Amino acid sequence: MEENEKKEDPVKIAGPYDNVKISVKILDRVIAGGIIAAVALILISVF
Amino acid sequence: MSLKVKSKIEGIKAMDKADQRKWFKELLINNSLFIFIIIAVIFIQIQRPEFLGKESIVNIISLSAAAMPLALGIAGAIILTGTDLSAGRIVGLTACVAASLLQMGDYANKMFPNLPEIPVLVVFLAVVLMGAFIGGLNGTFISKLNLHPFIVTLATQLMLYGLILMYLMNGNNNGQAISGLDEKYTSLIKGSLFSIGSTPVPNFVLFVIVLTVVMWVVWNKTEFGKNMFAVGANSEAANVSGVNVSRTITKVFLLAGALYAVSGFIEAARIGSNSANTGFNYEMDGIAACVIGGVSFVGGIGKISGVIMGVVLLKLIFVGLSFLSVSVNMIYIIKGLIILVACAIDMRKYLVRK
Repeated sequence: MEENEKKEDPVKIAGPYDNVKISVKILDRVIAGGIIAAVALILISVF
Repeated sequence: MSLKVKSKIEGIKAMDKADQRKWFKELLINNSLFIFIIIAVIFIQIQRPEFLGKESIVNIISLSAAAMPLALGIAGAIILTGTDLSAGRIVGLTACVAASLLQMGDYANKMFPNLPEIPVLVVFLAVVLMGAFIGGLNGTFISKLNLHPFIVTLATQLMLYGLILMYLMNGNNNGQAISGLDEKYTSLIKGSLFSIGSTPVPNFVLFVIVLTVVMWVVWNKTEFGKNMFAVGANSEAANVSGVNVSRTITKVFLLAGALYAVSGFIEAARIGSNSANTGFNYEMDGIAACVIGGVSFVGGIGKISGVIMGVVLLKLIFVGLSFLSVSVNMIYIIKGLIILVACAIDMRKYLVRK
């Protein structure tokens, strides 16, 4: 009976980032790094 | 002030100092791209005071409107956790077909010299049907054969490029760009009913506003829209709930194809000279605008207002960079960085929620 109930649970499928093994801290650095690089490129182009 | 905002402010006030700091940090990081773009716009405005003048604003609005139907189509594909790499080529093919059927009767290099005059509306419907057919094919391959949208649309993109090159060799054209468009067509798209200051706003901006409202209704008020979000969030759960997943995927791609065709029809008249390069890389701008506007690759997340924001902000920054005389090569690099940061923010939001 329990087994049947388990089978009928809504299925959870893997999202695109479920297998990502990266910490939020590193992502924060990627975001900050990307924005700093973009700002630097704009400033280099202008001045 | 609305109740929602009031209760949110009270909730923040009730937090202790550490939680408030954490909340503020999350807010800053999640909106870092918007903050970057706003600061960039302020910087550009200081450097070039004419940047936010009436002419430039109309230019930004026009460029955004031209890109909007394509971005709305791609947003649907992303909501299904997919993507659409064929978008730009569908724009290119439909633009070339529309232009070739709507050339001036007395134009020397007319592609089909014996072609009688065809009403603009008939050509519009024909290219929209063509786009919908190609989109429908994409959707059918993705849903029935369970292939990844990336691969299917990559294949379609290549085939469409070949088709465009072959189409341009038709009649008297000999591979040249198609120009000399009928005035009825160009005035319908580029003509103007009203102005901002003394700068006329092209008609296609109005058409795109109407189209965007229609798409908002489709996404938020119809069964199809709700099914699209359900399939994107969790296709298995949607299937268990009685949603026809396969049909929904096909319909989303079919609708996307029709939207790309609308973009193609507008682009053909807007740029006036259509070659194999028309629509090239448009999908990249569309995907970037969607990701910046918060349409998540996780699936099932996205708003029309977000897509509008993404498209406008992207055009704003690139028009601004052109004002600063930043080289096109550098603009490509900055565009890539913005997409990368947008994806990192999307991933971060997902991981924090998890």
